Amino acid sequence: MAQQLYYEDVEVGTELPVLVKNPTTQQLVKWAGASGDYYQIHYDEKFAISTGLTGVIVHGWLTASFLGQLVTDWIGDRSALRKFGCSYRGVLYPGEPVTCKGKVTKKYAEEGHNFIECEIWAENPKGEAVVPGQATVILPLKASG
Amino acid sequence: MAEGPIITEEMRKNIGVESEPITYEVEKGAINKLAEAIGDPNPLWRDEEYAKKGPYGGIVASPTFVISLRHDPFMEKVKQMASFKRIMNGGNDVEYFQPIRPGDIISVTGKIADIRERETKTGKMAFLTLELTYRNHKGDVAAKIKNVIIGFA
Repeated sequence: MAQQLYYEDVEVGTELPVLVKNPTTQQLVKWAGASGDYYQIHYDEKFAISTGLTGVIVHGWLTASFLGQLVTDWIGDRSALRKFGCSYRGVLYPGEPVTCKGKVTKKYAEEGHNFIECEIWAENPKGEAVVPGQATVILPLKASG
Repeated sequence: MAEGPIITEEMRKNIGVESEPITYEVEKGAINKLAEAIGDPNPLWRDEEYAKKGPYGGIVASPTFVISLRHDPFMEKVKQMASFKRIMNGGNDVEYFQPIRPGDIISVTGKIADIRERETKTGKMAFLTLELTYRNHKGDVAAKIKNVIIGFA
C-alpha cells in the first residue's frame, strides 16, 4: 500500500527511504524453497565452512530481492521498474541486519516516459556497501493524475 | 591449478547458442510464496482484492520472481563445459518489459552471451555472462536477466 511517487517529487540526490531487513537462517530456507536455489552454502553450516566461509550466507538473489522491495516500496503501484541490477562484492550473514539504501542519480524524459535512475545498495553492519546496484524506473506525472 | 585455458573450446563454440526452452505456468501461490520469503508485504503481489483496483487489474509478480523460473539444465550444461573448482555469482542485471501475472505461460531460454578470462595472482578466473530470456504466451519478452558467473580454476 505504498504511497504513489510522482516524477515531480524526485530530484537528483533524493534519497530513498531506508529499508532494514533482518534475514534469519529460517528465512534463507524459505527463500531456498520459494526460489529453488538449494546451494548448500545457504543452509548447511558444515558445508559452508568447508568452502572457506565462516558460516552460511544470505543468497545473492535474496539480497537483490530486498533491494527490489526498497525500490517498489518507494515508487508505488502506478510506476514501473524497468531495469534493476546489483553485483555481489561481499557476503552477508543471517542474524545480522541488512540495510538497503538508494539515491537518485538521473532524471529524464525519453520516448514519452519519465525515467528516474538510482544507485541502490545493501550494507552490512559495518556500513560497507557489499551489494551495490542500480535501478531504472518510470514514474507518472502529477499532471496526468 | 589448471595449466591450460579454463575456457574450453566447447564453451567458445556455444557463445550465442540459445538453449531449448523450459516452460512454466505461473501460479498465484508461487508469487505469494516468493514475496513471503522476502518478507515483502506489498499487496500488489499478495492481495487479489487490493490488486484488482490497481494498474494491472490483479496481482503481478514481484521483481525477482523471474529467477524462480529456473533453467537448471542450461546451468548444469554450462558448469559441465567449464572445469571450475568453485563458482561465484558476480552479479545480475534484469530488464523488465511486461508484467508477469498468474496464468502466464513463460518459456525460459538461456545462452552464454560472453566469456572473458583473467589471470590473477591466485590463479585463473573466468567471467561468464549468461543471458536468460523469459517469453510469455503472447510471444512478448517479459524479462531478460544477465548473470555474471565468476569461475575459479
